[in-house]
Amino acid sequence: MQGDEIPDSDHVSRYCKPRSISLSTGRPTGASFMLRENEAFLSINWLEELNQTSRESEINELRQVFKNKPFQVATTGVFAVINVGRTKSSVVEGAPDSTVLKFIHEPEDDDPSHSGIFGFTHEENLIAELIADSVIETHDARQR
Amino acid sequence: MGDTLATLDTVDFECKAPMEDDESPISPRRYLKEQDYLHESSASGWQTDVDIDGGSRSVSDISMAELWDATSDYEKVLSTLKEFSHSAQSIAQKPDVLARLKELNKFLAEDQEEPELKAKSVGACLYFLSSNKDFKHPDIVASPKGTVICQWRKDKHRNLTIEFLPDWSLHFVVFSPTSSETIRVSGRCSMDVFRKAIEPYQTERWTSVNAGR
Repeated sequence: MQGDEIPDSDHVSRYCKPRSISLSTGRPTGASFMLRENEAFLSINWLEELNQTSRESEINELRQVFKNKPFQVATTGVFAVINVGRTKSSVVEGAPDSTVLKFIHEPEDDDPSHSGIFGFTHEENLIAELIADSVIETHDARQR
Repeated sequence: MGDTLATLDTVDFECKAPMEDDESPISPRRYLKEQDYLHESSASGWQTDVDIDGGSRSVSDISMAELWDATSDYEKVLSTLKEFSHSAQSIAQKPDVLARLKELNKFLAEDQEEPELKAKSVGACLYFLSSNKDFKHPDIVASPKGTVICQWRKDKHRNLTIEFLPDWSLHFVVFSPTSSETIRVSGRCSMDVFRKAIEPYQTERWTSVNAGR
């Protein structure tokens, strides 16, 4: 439901554009988790909210959702998965001012699992790096 | 609050006000007319010829400002800079810096949601890499603002990331291990003082061409 805080045990996914992915490792970098200047939160998807039985089916569901987005998902883009609780802990421990992130459900008509990471700004590159370090798995944004 | 350093060995390098709020799309010619930082002598080893005033001259004979004036052909300019980068041995490693910048420019251009790559950020990145030849080849990515970011990351505890801002200041993030903890700092500074700013964190342990791979 709109405004619900996502439980620490749950997982979220961020679509990472090719411009932000390391050429040497294929992994998302901090640039994948930076806000634009006019953004209040970082867009993510709440995977458990998709009500699927496996990570694979969650990602497949996400791929379908992203087909309806105004931008085209790139062939080399990836979905990065992070655990909510571990990411929050990593940022609290690693950020100089012990930033507390909030993961909030922000559903949209055509994207019911849409959510946001709140609590940092477009200038806080260190936090973006900490979030990138919390990525536990990645999946091709387009099925190959 | 921005993520300027607030703890540990406090560093705050908010020392340079933006020259102007001009983040025009990539146009290296215009940028280098304003700042002729990339002027190189013949010692740089450039080989490319450029048509200046109707006659062909070696790039080594002209300033970068003249070069940008001579052609508005982005491909040609990149090609010429490629010669330059190959002469700077530290960034001549594959994958090529300029090829990557060109690829990033393409990624951004293909995505209507994204801004174009910022020319001033590209210029700052090239200048930094050519004048800091002891750095390994970085991972190069682009921010959602269209700025260039170079990253030297060995693992979760060893990371130097530099965002090249259009005013030629650097926004850096350092994760560096000590015997007891990992220091995590960020800050903003001019290119002139950057090496001094990160010196305490001994990033050369993983960023230097002389560091073990």
